[in-house]
Amino acid sequence: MRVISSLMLGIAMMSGLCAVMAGQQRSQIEDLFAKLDSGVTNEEASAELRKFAADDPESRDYITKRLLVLIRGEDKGFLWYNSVQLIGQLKITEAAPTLAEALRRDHRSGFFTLGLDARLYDDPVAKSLSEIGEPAVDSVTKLFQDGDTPTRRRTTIVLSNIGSASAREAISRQIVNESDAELKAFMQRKLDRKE
Amino acid sequence: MDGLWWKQEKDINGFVALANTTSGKLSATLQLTDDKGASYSSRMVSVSPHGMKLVDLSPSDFPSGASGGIHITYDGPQSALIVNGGLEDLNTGYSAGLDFRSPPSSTATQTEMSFAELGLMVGAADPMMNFPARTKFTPYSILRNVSDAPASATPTLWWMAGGTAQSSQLPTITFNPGQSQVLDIPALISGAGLSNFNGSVNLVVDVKGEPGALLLAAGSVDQGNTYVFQVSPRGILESASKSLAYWSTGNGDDTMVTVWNAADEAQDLIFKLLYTGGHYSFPIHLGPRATQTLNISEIIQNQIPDSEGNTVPASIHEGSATLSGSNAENEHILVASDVGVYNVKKATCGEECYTCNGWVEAWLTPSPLFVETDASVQMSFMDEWNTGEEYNITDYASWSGGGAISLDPSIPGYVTGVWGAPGASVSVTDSDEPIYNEYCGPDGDDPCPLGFGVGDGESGTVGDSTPVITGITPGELDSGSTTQLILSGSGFGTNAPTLTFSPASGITYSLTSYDDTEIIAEVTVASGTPTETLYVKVTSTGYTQYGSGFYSGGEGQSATSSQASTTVQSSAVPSATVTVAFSGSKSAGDNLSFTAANPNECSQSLGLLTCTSAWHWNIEGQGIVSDDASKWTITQSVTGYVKGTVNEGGVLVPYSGTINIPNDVYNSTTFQNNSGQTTIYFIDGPGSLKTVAGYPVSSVTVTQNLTTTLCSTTAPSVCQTVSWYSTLSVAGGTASSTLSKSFYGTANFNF
Repeated sequence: MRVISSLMLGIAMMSGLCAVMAGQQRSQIEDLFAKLDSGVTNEEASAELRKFAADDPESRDYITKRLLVLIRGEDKGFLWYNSVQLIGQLKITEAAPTLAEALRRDHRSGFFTLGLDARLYDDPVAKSLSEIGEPAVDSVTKLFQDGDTPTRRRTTIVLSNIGSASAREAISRQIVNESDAELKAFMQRKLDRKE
Repeated sequence: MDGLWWKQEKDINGFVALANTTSGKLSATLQLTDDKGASYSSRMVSVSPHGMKLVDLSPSDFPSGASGGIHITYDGPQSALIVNGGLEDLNTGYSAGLDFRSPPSSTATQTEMSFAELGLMVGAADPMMNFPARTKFTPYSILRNVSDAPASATPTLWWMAGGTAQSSQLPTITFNPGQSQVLDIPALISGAGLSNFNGSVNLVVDVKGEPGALLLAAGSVDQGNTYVFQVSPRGILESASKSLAYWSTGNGDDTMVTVWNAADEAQDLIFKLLYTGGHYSFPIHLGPRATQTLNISEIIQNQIPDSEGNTVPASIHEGSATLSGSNAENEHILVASDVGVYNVKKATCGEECYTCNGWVEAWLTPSPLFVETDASVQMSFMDEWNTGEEYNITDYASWSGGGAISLDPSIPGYVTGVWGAPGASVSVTDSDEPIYNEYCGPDGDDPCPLGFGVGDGESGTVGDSTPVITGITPGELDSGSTTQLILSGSGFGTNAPTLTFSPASGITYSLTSYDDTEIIAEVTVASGTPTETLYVKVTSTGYTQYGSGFYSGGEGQSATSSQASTTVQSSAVPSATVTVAFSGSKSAGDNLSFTAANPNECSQSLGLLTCTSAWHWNIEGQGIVSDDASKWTITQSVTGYVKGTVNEGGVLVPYSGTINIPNDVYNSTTFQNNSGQTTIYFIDGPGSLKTVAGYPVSSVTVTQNLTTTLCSTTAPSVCQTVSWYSTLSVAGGTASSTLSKSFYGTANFNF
């Protein structure tokens, strides 16, 4: 009996330990999310969160859910910008529809070169959608239907960055219907890989 | 063995000589039959090893008829016994030879053959022959069937009248086995209206029966049975030239030659006397079926120069002779001829051996046959005749081949090696070439020649050809580039060949296509390879049909060709000089536009700019290249650091971060490298937007260290790099022209 009781106790202790550790992880992750709301500590926090996501599927799932909630908020502030950036780095495909809606606005921020700006890599929304890649194509392409001219231009750049066959096909289809001559020419140059 | 006897006079005697050629004793039975083939008398004799037995035949041994047979059997192997014989009358000096031969096989098939008994003398003797006055000759001809099946004979008499041939035919006579008959030539002559004819006639007998079924004897005899001119029946067949073994005009001899044209058209012949120290050609023109009789003594006495100016010296009394077509000894002719050497004083007459000339040896050249794939060899078919002459009968022969060769049907003997198994064979036949044979004695009525046809075969080998390069294009290969090289020629094979370049340094290639006559390869000449003559050789690896590998067939071909050459033209190593302008205006040739490249830009000027939504430091890069601007590409990497504050509703919130962009890009709006130009332009305007995370920037210092690299596409290892930096310093929303800076090198960003 004692032996059995001891074993049972061990199992119970293990279960409790796991629960404690998961809680610790969440706490650590939440601490990191707090640091993400800063223009100074954000780089380090992003790196730690990427490591959690890479090492533990449960952590990634938790981080994903947190990020999806965060980017639905007002598109302003370090937390929102850094969350969008982290979504792209983690390639969270579920975020594509939300980010595509955010692409209707210009979110360029901080330093740039002409080359970075040409790819909108100074816009965390455009860059994250580009990093998500093919899973984002359908969500982004919908912006061709009702987006204004700057939005359609950003859409063209993101699809060009993704560069897949379906992304290029989406640009090709839009060229036929594009009403803005300058943008139409821009789309063609993107297809010709001249820009 | 079977022979034929006849009675020129009533009490004829005779003899039969039996010679044993074996080392064992032979027992022979000699049986005389009558003209119906019925046995009349027989004698048994024993012939000792290598011995001879002479059997005398007295008048009582012969049946009462005019002709009959002599049938000899013996207990030895075939050809063990040689038999000869004669008929004679010592009182009158009559003598005639008897021919014996083996009867045809009982399984022999019926054939048709014609025999000519030439020069049968009729009436008064030719004065030129020096016979005693009033000597008259009467021809005779006897036939006996020695086969076991009936045979028929249709005699036709031919004579010359008025320079043309005349003829008269007897009814066909059928001979049962063993049956014999003396033809009534005088009645035939008389019936032809030649009762007073003096001269010679020919008797041609058309025979149907087994080959050799009829044994024939013929000749002419004078009224006293003293002079007997026997003639041998000659089988009539197309032949080449014939050689006569012997003629004589010495010691009272003379030689009579009779030539009969058996063809229905005229023939021109050459009768050539051969003697010690020379020859003499006597032309003979014979109309259809015409006869000409020659006395050699008369030819000699006439001393008429021949076509070569020769005459027969009077001191010449013997020699040999040939009878040929007027064009060549191997020209086909259709004549029958007979030669008799007679001596009036001695009352002797003999027949001479003759030769039907033909081939004795034949061969193909070259031997052994070897031909290379896709190459050709002209083969020759040669033969040598008994006369010593060699003839090239290539064009007259039928050629066939097998294995890896083809024969050109329009060029006899022209052999070409083709792809296939290495073995080959050639066979050749010429069905018109006469076979050499010599005729003496009982063989005299054999056809001349005995047959036609010569053939040979040769096995051979087909080997791969040594590759030959006959063309190489282009004549110049540029270093630092890949060029399509085309080699034309032959013998390259159908397996993938290998190319060997010399000098080999810096040369690589890949085969694009190849066949037996053309190789196309992509040849890359490394950048920096100097101007030089580039030699190339092709090594064949053979043909698919043989498997892999070059097959020489044991001959001396090489798998590797001789070298052909082209030229490597060194292109100078491309170079570039890169500079950056950090202030002032863009260059005149720079068609790039800051405002077109970036919506934040507000000016085409270089240097620090404060635009509506961003601060920039515009620069213009310039590359001067040695070749063509279009052969250069551009890459850029950026590192740096940013530190600043944003105004969040009156609260200044700091922000900072590192910059690390390994693959910054240029595009057509920021990079100009037009073909045909040597100047490259690139523009950039690194800086900071006036908002960060959606809030206005209050202050910021951003330093970017940029490394811009131009690389040659023709010499990828050739690149030119320029390092430059841009530092923007903004305080209170205003860019500082003193703290902001951009120049070559790298900036420290530990701030």
